[in-house]
Amino acid sequence: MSQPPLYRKLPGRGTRREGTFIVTVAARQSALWLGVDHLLLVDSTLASQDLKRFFFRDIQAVIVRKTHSGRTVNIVMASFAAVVCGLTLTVNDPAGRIALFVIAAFFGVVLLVNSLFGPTCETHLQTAVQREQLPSLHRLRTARKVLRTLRPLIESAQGQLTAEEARARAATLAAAHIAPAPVKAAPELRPCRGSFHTVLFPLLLVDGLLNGAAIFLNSMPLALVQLAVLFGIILTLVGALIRQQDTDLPAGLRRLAHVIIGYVCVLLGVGFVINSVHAMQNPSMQNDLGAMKHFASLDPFEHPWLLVSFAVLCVCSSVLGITGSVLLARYNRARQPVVLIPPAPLPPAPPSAPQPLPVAAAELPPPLLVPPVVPPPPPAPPANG
Amino acid sequence: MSAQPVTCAKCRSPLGDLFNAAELRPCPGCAVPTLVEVFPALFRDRVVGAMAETILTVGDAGCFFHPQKKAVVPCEGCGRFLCALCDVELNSQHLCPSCLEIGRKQGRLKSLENHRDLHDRAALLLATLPLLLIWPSVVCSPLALFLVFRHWKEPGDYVRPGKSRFILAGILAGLQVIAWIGFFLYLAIR
Repeated sequence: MSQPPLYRKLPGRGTRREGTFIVTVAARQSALWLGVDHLLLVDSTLASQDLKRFFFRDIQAVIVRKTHSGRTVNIVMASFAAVVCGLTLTVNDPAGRIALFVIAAFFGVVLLVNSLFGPTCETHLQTAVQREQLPSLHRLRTARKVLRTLRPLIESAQGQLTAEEARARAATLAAAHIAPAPVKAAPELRPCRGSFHTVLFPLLLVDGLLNGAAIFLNSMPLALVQLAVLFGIILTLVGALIRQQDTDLPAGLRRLAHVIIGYVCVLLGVGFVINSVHAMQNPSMQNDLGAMKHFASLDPFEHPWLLVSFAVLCVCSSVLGITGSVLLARYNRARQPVVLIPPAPLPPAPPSAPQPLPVAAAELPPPLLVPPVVPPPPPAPPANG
Repeated sequence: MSAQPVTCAKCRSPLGDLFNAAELRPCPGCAVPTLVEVFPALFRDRVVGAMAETILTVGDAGCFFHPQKKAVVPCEGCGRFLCALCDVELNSQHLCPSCLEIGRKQGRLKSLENHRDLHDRAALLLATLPLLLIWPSVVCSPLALFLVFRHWKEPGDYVRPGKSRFILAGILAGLQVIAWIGFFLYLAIR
């Protein structure tokens, strides 16, 4: 039987994901290898490989489609780096600045590397019987490079085809074969009770108020209440995100829940950084309660970074809470069934003269006189004797 | 012509106007910049399968699977005569369907292999990852050794064949097993 051919690795490495963006059921490393007469697609997991061969004589087309994922990653990384750099300016402590700078540098490096790799794309390879995505060719530059390698090999197996000839022959392709785009069945929307949202937005308002109060009051009980409210926000937010799926909630309200989760993530991230800086500054303080007492004892007017933090949190929480409450109120108002006001009861019609008969009374036959029903005579008493 | 058209992966619009353009051009449906390289196979008519001929002359060999049909080639796996219908050509070899199936199941036809379990990688993982927590290696290092001995003869990576992972896993797991034996002996003697 035939021996396995020698393969040469083609540039590019990607991940084939199965499942949704949040829950990836299986992630497999995908790579392309060049064989003698075919292209080998290898999808590898930790302990197995799935193989697909595309013979040069069978490859019909390679389609490279530009995507925006690289640009999106750049925007997100730039935002994170900017936020952390902004925080660096508010921290006076050198150790804290260094820690924040390291975090900002991490985001910056990711941004730089992603920019250097260039724009992203998705590549498909088509044969007569299938169309396969090639996850390893997810950068435009790599896809072009691989195409430059493959083109002469495929042309040596099939012959050459100029652009003009290809376009001229494209017109002859049977239009009847064009399959309509797969349309996902829209999920059936159900009305949302909005109980989690009803709690979430007031909690955000309370959080805004508490942060506003914390500017003027520095006490441990207030800090504990703030922590409890934040915990409540996280719990209700998770519930709201779960319950709002496939409901008729307006898109704005749903998007707001996602904005709030981003806000909470930033909040937790900043809290983690501040806590880490504090732990580095005060190595003797071992537990979180001690750190909390320390922060609660700080006067915001003496520590500008604390003042700025409270003010920003107050504004953000209040804006989110108010926006959410308004949107939810609108939704509830729109959802209420329209109550029809019943028309006022009409006054009883006044007694009117009897309607004239259509036929003259003289022409009517005389009324039939029904003879009175006479009870039958009682039976004669039997004769004695 | 029975070729299937080349369409956009997102909007399924036909991309005939973009064939073999030098640069990215917007898709006519969704306006996403797209590059389409097409090859002559796209316009090739599909090959119709050969029809088996009925035996008309006395003395002609018949197919093993269809005795009424004329044999055209012997199977290179088992030697049975095959008609044009039963002849499966694979990498210039003529095989009957049963030899093809057996070869695929037993992994003898490498060009039909589409899945491979990498026991060498599993053994190496079992020999290295538990070292991070130390204690799990009590169980995992003997398991790694078992995998090495059990699957030593089986092929490893399809594109990078070799025994290096097995060897490395065997050495690491062996050292761990020796270390644990020494540790437990030390505890027992002490």
